[in-house]
Amino acid sequence: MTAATPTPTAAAAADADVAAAPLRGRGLAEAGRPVRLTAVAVLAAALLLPLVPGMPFYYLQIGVLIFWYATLGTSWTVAGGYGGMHSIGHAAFVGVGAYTSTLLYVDLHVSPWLGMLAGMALAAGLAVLIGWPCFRFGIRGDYFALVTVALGQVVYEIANGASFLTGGAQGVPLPYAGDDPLNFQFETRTALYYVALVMWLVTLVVAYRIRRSGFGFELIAVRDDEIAAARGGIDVSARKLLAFATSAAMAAAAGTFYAQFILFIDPGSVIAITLSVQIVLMSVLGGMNSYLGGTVGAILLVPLSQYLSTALSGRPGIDLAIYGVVLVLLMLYLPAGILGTLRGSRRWRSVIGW
Amino acid sequence: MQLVSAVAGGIALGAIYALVAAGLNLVFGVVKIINFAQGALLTVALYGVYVFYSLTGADPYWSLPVVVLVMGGIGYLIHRGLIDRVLRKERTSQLLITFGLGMALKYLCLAVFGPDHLGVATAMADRVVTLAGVRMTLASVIAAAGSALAVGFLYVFLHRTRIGTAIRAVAQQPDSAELAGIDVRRVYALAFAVGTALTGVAAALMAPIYTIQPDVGDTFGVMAFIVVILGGLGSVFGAATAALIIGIGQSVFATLVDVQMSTAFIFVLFIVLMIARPSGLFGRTARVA
Repeated sequence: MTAATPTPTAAAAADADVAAAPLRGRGLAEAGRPVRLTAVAVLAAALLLPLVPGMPFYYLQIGVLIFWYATLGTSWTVAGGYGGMHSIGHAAFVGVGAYTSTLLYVDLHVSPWLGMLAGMALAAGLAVLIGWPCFRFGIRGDYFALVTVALGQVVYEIANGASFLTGGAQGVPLPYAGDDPLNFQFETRTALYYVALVMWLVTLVVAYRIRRSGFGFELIAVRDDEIAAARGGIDVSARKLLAFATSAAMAAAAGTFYAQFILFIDPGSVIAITLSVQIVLMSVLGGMNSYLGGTVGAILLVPLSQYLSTALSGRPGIDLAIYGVVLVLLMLYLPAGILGTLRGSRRWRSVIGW
Repeated sequence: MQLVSAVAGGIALGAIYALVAAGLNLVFGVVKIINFAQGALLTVALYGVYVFYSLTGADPYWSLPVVVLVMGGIGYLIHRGLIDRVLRKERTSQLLITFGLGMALKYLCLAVFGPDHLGVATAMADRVVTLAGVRMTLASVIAAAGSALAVGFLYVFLHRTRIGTAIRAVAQQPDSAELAGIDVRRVYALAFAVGTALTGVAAALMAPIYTIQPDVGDTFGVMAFIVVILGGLGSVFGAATAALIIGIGQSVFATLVDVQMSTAFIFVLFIVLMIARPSGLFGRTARVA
């Protein structure tokens, strides 16, 4: 990369350079046949699961939650893993998405599909509003994490306090309109299961494409050394801002899904800091540098937490306490996450997009 | 008149913020990590006060020495068992390990004590006093005065004792301190223990004023960060001033505008100030993150 001046042509040349770099690998295409077969089998199983006769409703529900948390974990990866922006306030974006589509639907009868787009735009706008001054004035690392904690608290307090708009702590129930796909409502849980699956798959593909794009490589350069990246002609603030806004929009879409799935939202369920930490945990457990990290984390943690909260229902909070312990143990013994153990091999690095 | 009592209430609130923040500041300044578990440790300390109160039936203020020692011990163990082992790893590990610890502690409190609001009653301070024309409960006067005293003690400890000097030396130059014969790792553990012990002081002072439930430490923990960052790293009096400004600001906003929104107001203020003055209101230190 010889681009010393950040002119458009130089930037384009830098893009081309990165694209041609041999380090890039062939990504998923480099996976061996067993891995590819396993991936296809897992996907097929996920697709066919609801069609198994007599499939208990409870298992489908867990499936939906796995897709939901995997979507959130993957969205976090784009900002936290690729860009090094460790947001501990991602629930703010989930809340913006959930509340935007829900309020538009309940008060103005706007279809939640449109509401979802509006929520994504609002969340991305909020991310830019917070991110721009932070990145502009070099607030990163722990300090950025603190700002996002404060952001999560602000959105939480506003949703709690502005009860004339948001219903306050009582939350907002959504009317069930029967089978009405245009309004994001379905008669069967099976349909919701497939919607969750598609949302997860789209998020995953977007995260994978970002990782393999020139933008993704620039983002990782920024994460690893901001100053060097800036010297290489990368507009550091703009790259971080784009990643943060993309991540926020993805989380907001998941927020709308949650509202349509549960048909009830309140600040405690969609904006609480607990959710923010769970999102981080999904990605970190799986391996936050990989687009697959959030998915691996959700596959492990969601069933565990469902099992624990059922088995220990007399002790509310014990499942979350165990989340905390898992996070501590991870940081002590496996800070790179489960997929991180594969990063030693060059081929695996390419497959998992480390 | 309303405004005056709001300011007085804000001073009491700010004094407690200052105390929790002083512990955070010490750990931040010496060990160079942000202890996200500080709020949860305060919750643990408050439940400690509650347990002492229900076991002995004595006035909650008497729990102070016990809770302080127990919290100091817990802090020492946390440092030795967890923090010390990630100090040479990435920042992310340090950030998330204290976060995970805080989450585990908070929800363990929920699992053990349940979600109910618990209270401790003080016979010693259960009356209203009039100070300069403002009526306040004696308990909040004690909380404010006790916090100020504890912060003063911390200052004297850091500046007038050999151990305090060693702690300051390590905060400034760990390598040179080690060359001068200071056991840096021990000083780290000590600073962490003192920082945690301060949550014990805060707990004993505030227990009679606040109801105790698993979320109680959250706001104080986050407010303490805000105080430390606005006050400037390592500055005891900067943090105390910032704590008072925030306490009074929150209390006045709650009285004049809206109680519900007063916390949100402080967070917005924090985000704005953080971006406008990244090195704190009074700080001159360059920010290295």
